[in-house]
Amino acid sequence: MKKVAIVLLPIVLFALNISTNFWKFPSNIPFFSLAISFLLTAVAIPGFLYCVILMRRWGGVKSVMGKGFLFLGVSFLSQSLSSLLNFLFFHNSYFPPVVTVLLGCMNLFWALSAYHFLITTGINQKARTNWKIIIIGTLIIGIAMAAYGKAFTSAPYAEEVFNSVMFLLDFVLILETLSLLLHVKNFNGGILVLPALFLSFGIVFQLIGDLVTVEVFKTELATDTLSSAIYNFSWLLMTLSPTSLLITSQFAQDKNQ
Amino acid sequence: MNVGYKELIDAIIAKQTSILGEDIALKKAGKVEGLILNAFGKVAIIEGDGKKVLEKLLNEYAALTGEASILFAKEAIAPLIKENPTLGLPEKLKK
Repeated sequence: MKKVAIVLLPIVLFALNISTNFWKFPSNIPFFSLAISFLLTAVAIPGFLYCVILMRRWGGVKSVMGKGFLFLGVSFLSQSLSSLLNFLFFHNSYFPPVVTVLLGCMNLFWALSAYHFLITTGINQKARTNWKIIIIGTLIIGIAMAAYGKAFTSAPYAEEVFNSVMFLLDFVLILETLSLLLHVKNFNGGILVLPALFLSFGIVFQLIGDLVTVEVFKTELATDTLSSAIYNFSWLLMTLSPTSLLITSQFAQDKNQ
Repeated sequence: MNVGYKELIDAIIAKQTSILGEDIALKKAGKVEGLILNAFGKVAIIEGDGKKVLEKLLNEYAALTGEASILFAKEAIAPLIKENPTLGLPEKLKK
């Protein structure tokens, strides 16, 4: 029963969130406004809670797996907060600096979480060092580009430079995700296959969502409802990463008792 | 230092502790038949064939992280094996 509830919670929240987008409930009516903001925030909360439970169970900050789940949990929290702030104070019309920073943090924490999953696949020391350099390098370059774009708004190509930060992050994330997918075979026979696959495909769908929202790829099909559905689906996939491990490890414990 | 199965198992448990955390790594090691750990999570006694106990330990960790656990085990024992190359290893660690 407990296991069913653990799995159903994120699925129900996903279905409700999709419904509010599809039927376009009027957000100017207080009840719907409250319901929509609650759903936007709540969709990532189960993922956060499951990650906290797993982080504590898998050795906390002293272990690679514990750190992986800590970073994934913080990314869920960043998403939750950015959705809430954007809906309540900025009416989804544009991305103010505070929301942009939260979304940047979310991307960074995915990269760190995927990096720790990569370590767990048993990649060699050289690959670990290379990924560490790539992540730190991307962080420094990304912050520099964002600062240039925002601080020197009249400078040449300031806006273009700022907008390119998202593509830089997406590019590094897709490389990291592909690397993780290539190494997932090392988990064969273990209980980490599904969590790693859900995390990887969750990130892939976020990146697809990013592409759909970019003006150049806008088509009749690429509506706001579609991009919202893709983002929501990606959050469901990512939530299923800790969910699958939580129910499998619980099952393993029950079986051995 | 005379490297034996005790040292190899200690190294593997220490490596897995850094990956999976102390609770899970020690719980899994504690399930291995013939392996008794002390209060500090180190090998106290190996009952019976050390090679078989080592293999059972690898199987316990493989149930969590699959082939990756073998890669970690190889990494953990590599410096110890150099000190005693004649020590018989399970097939999984030889590949």
